[in-house]
Amino acid sequence: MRRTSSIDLYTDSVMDSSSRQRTAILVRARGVVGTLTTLLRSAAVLVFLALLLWAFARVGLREFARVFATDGRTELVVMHWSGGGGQEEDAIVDSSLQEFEAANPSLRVRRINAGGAGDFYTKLQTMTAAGDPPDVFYVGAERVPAFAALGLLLPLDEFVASDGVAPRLNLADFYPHTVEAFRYDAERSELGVGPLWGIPKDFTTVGFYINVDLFHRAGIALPSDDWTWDEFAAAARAIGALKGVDAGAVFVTWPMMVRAYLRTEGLDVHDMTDSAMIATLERLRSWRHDETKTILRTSANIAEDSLFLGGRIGMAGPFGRWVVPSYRTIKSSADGGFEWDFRQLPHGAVRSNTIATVSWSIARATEHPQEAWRLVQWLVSPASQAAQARLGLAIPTIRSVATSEAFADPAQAPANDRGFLASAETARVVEWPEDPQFEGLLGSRLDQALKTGALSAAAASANFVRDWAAVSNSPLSHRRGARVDWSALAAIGAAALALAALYLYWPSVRGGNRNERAGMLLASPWIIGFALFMAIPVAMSLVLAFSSWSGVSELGSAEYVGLANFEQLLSDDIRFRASLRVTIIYALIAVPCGQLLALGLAMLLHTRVRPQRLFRAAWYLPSVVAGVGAAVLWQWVFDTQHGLLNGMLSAIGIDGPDWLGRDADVAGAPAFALMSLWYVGGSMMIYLAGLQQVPADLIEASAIDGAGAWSRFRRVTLPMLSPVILFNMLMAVIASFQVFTQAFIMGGGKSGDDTLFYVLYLYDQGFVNYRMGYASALAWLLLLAVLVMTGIILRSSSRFVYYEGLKL
Amino acid sequence: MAEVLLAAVSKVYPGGARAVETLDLAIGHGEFVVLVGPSGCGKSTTLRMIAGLEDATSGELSIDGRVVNEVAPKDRDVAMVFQNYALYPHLSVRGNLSFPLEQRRHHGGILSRFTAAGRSERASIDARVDAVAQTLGITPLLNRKPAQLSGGQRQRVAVGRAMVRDPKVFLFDEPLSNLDAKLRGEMRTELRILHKRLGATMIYVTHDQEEAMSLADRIVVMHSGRLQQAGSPIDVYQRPVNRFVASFIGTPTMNFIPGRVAIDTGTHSRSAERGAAGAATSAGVFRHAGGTLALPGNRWRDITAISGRDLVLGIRPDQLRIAGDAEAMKIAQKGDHPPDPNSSIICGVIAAAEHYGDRMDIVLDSPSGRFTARCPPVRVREGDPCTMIADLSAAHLFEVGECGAAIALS
Repeated sequence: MRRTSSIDLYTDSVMDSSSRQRTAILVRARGVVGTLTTLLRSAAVLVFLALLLWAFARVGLREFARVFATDGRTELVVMHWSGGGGQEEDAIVDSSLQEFEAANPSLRVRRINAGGAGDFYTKLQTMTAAGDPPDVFYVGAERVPAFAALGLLLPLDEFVASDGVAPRLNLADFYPHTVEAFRYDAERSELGVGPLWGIPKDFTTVGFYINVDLFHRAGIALPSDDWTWDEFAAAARAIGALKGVDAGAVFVTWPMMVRAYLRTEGLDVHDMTDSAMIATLERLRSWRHDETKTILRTSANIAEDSLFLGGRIGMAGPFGRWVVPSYRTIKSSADGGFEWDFRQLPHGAVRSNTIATVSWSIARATEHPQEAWRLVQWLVSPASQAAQARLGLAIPTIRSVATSEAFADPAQAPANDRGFLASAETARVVEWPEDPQFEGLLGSRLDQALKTGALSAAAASANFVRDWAAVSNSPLSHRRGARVDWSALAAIGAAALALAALYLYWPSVRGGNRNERAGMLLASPWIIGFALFMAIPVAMSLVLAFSSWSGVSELGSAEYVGLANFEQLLSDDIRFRASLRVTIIYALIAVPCGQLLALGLAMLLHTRVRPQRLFRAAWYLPSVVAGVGAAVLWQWVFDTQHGLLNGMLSAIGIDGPDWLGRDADVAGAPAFALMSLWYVGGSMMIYLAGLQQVPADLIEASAIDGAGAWSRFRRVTLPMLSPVILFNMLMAVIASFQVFTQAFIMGGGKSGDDTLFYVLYLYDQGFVNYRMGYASALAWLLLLAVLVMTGIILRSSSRFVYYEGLKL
Repeated sequence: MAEVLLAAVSKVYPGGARAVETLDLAIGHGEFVVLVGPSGCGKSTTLRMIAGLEDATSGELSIDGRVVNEVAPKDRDVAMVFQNYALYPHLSVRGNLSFPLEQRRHHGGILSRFTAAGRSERASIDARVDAVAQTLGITPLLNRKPAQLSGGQRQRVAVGRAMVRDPKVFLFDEPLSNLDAKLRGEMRTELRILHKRLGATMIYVTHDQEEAMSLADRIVVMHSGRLQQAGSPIDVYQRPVNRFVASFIGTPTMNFIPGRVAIDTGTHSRSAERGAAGAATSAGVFRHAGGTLALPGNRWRDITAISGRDLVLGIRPDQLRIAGDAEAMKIAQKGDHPPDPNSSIICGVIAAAEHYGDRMDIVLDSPSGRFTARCPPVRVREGDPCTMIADLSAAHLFEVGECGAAIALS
């Protein structure tokens, strides 16, 4: 008895009653807190799910309602852009359409605003290729030959002739050359004759915007609308000589403006080897590059029209009316701004001006041509034009509206609205060949003389002549073949997909256990997504690589051309070779430098620099900055005169190169490689993780074994890190062949081919030149090249990559 | 062979953690010293300071008379075997063994294979590696990678990599703890033999007191960054300086009973009658929660001085035995009087009985706490009441507290 009781005493002493109570209270309290946390967490999840569901339901129901709208009205889809006009243009188009709906109760209009003109054409291309183009949309006159030849547009002559509904459309009310700009005879490749492909909604002549205050400061009289290039140059020199002025003038070298300039000397780009032509181009080059501050020398791909806003530029042009809304934000001299006005394009031997114009056109594929015509007629009516004219963005195409106060508002700058109209009766659009490559190539080649000054005008023209001959004589541009039989291909594709699905799912359906079936079920959304959005498009691009397809016509119009795309690429395509060269040079610099830097930084961070998190975040930060924003910033870094980089170089007495312009042949690819170093954060993080995986004992063991710092790194750390290095190398090589955003934003390939990256060229071919088949061939070639390269690296990796470190 | 001297060496980590406190230790030529203690006691830190992997915060560290506080690890001429071997996974066994020699080449470099000096150096490295491999019996493994080796083989390679350079001091950081028990025993023996053969100074860290006992010339017991006791294994086992050392050394761990010492005249007179050794001195008793134990009078230097104080009595498990049935009956009849003046009985209930074949451990729950006895195998049932007889001729008395000092023995 005595023993047992003492044992009880012993156990009791382990936990006395008061501590037991305390424990119980603690446990209960913890339980309450736990329950609360669980409740809160569940509530948060529920709220999130509800929000998600609501968002999906909203979007889904909206589309649902649109498809099943039962109000019996016919729907018309209208697409436009609002680049320079911004929200105001958006609102004006919208209100015009609402008035139209009110006036036509049987019609309903769905409006798409694609944003800027560039996005507009991409969207138009996608919609058209999908067989669902908008019914009514903007078309710039420069696209008319291409679109007419591709059969995208509906001829409008019949509608115009039979138009009986008020307000009746009378082409005689229009400025004749704006109408002519939309007549194109595809058979004879001739502009100004043949069917009418659109009704011009507005237009503009071009000229220079002048800073009146700077003219006064320089003590020169304001020019008249009938001024000459000599007067222009003299004024530019005088203003350029003033203190605190960036340059006498900004002169944009867009192909259209270069041609407008040439026309004032009675020349055009038909005969590029003509000596007068070379001399005229050389004069422009010389103003810019041989004289200081006569014409602003900037090679950065920036919005040149905005330079005028700063008040340190005497003249800016040639621009159309479209800059007026933004220039109207300039404050008056009294408020610290300056007075400005507009002058017609100066003349040389000939008085000539050029117009740019945009039409409302109708898709050939529209299901409601009559209704679409009624809408077009409404949109180009005097009332709609007057409404649009208030924006100041363009000149109405109907004479009576253009001369009314809707356009020439005396209360607003520029005072010289009449200047725009002075040549409106005589100015013509510049004529572009059907092949969009002409304009791109002309710009790229001439810019090497006019914009960057890297070449003489004669050399640049000769380059253009040579390269255009290569493009236009390419067998591919005449090759025609059998239509691609998409239905047969679809049947084969469906069969292949069905087989793949069977191969994937059958084992788990047949013999699998619960887990396997559940696993396959859960993986299915991804598998289906992969099939729909990856496998099918990739297979289609493979077919397209052997075809010719514009990318704007229906997919059914694609024609087999066999290996012609590849033949052309590998044997004749100068720009392809140039882009390959740029990309390879870039990769050769960017990959090793990037990896070395990333590894070096990771090593530094690994030594436990004090605020390690801070440094890590700082180095990783650029990787989360949006690509476009970064590219815009870097454009300023690389700017020749005001750039950060050249500023730093000049501080140590080095005259920095014109990275992306004149010196792009040497400095272009390295500049992009330099920029890529900004993104080493990602690789660095992976290296850091790798370094932290290297066992500390190994380093310590080697330290005791007599290895110095370099030997420890070379003989222990590096081999242990080799799998990580291989991974990072592969990723970097692949990424280096996919450079696009930076190059696209920073004007790659815009002047010469020294910054024309491979994928940028691919994009240009597919989305600018309407050669989707060719672009597909480019894409597949890239894929093959990357595959081969990765294969070689992986094969040779066994010599220097040790996986043993991972096994131990 | 070398001498290692630690004079008032301390290590304070940034943040204030004191890993080693004023450690004084002299390790002689060719001595095999084992630092032992529970994890966090500072033994590994001490070893790493000797290796040069950690800087001593204060104090002086010298090898063969040279102060090495500021000397880089590679220049201290020490070799170290790590707990997880730290073999270079990307190098073959031969590569691992020759690594330390490669690092010390005079005629190294890319061109070495084209110069006569470089070639002969290479040949001597190979010869040295072959010799070491021969010694350790790993010649057939020379071309394998560490990942292809078993734990024991890796261990041998790690030792080989330390041997190959013929260093002044070998450092071992728990080198056997990743091996299974059987292999651990074998390797222990081999290490001991290796030490005899090389005659090198070896410093060995382990938390396993058994390993420490079996390997060491001298054991250094550490606790909370402080040296507790340094001495030969048998000395530390038999004469622990404090309760911590007593509890740490020996398996199963020593039994401790809190209680109080009193001079018991009855016991005194009876032991005098029987003429036991040391009868002339006064004997005492130890009163604890479960009864009274008779203390042998000649065990402690001055038992009267500690009379009346709260102390802790330590009895090793092998000095407890189960009283046989007849013996137990006799005790029951006579009350609590033990049959031997130096013995006492402890009563309780068997909580656990662990059989090892040749012996067994019996865990007894008694009013004075839990006792473990190591004894020849007997048939007992868990839950049975049981009487144990303690032989107090080798017992210890400690001051109260985890590190309570031992009461001086006579």
